[in-house]
Amino acid sequence: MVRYAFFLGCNIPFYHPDIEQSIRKTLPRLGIELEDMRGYTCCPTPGTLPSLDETAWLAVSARNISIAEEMGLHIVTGCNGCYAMLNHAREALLLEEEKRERVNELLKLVDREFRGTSEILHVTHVLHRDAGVDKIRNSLERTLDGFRVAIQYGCHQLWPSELYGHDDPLKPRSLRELCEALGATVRDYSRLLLCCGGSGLRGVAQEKSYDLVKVKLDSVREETDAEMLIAPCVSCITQLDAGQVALRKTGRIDYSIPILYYTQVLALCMGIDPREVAVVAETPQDEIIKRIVGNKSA
Amino acid sequence: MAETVKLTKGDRNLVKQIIELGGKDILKCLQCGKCTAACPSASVDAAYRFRRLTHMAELGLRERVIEDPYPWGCTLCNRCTEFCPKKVNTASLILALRRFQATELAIPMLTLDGLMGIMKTGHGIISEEGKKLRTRLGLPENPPSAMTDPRALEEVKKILTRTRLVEMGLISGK
Repeated sequence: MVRYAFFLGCNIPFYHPDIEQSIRKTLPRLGIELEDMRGYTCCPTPGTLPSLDETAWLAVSARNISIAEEMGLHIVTGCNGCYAMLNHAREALLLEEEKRERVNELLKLVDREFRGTSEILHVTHVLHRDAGVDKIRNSLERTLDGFRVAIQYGCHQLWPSELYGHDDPLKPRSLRELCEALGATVRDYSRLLLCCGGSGLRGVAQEKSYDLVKVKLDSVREETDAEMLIAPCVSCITQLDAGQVALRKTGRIDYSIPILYYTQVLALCMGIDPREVAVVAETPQDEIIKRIVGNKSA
Repeated sequence: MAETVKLTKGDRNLVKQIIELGGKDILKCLQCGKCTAACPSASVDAAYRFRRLTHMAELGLRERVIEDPYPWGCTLCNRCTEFCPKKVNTASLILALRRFQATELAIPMLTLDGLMGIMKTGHGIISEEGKKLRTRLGLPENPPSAMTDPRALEEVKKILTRTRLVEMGLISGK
């Protein structure tokens, strides 16, 4: 049994609470306990405080991290964005004493301190490391046998690899192995590592960000026979989901590829009701969910 | 007639200002261009050129740097960091360039909305519809964040009102 402080962020609880539910329902079944971080705030997301003032960013990130440190736990988050920003902040605070002192002066005003004892990990990272593929395989009520999938890691859990370091930066394996543990056949495609465009670019130039969606999805469509995409990043999911709807409307693509978060698919394979864990999507996904639910027993 | 830029007349304080805003790695840049070659934003818009932007900053072309669209069009994917031969922490440099532009009040609306959201609820974004959905899924209406914890929200406000955000006129000092 391992235990983590669960950092929810903003996107998952407000825009994809079905993903939140899928994380809460699957990890404990694999011996990974999650404890809520009471009183946390936005990580903060790069487009807010980090783009306005460095100290404000580092202090708010440090305050979040200090909650887990008080709990005596490492942090796990399901959001690639939170994973990246909290790790960047932690790195700056550990490496630069001057910044750490300035931030701790601010935290002192609210009786807190950043000590650097809590690491920040990702949900798929701990699934791969702490649960492992065998335990996952043995936890299933049904499998993805016969399903062909494409995967999307998301930039914010790969680079810079020196900071994250849990997978090969150019030939990542973790998500592939997690999907194979469900019985899926994972198809390669040339634009696997291409950014979805979902972070800053989407905010200021949505049309251009959808050009990246098109390049990526065309690559999946033309080079593979994948029936769905599986990702561990809620921003990628939102971008690839909304992006393909927009691209279809303007006639730039004529296909549809459902996309689900890893633990959503895991939950379905564990026999959890799809109405609890897979309800938010603009791209039709009912059919693929129905087929997964109807697939033969493990 | 083409614009003539006198490089010797560039603003020498520009790099210093960017460093003060957290972008000290600008001094490491070799101008090799691997960052732009690796950049997904650059692949969809020729205006997004990170190497060129750092070059303009080094030359002290203040107006050009203020107006450059790249900092906010960057997805912070850090692919450039992965490939940089000088290990420039590009995420920190991009954020410093955004802060520089922000001091000149070149700030996207989304950023101001996000800041206000954090001051009001602790969240950069929230969704009323999301709350309904949470309830339907059997989750509490709100996540266990500062949103439902007035003491936690006060902590965040107390911290933020002692930062440069007040001086910038973005939040009130009270």
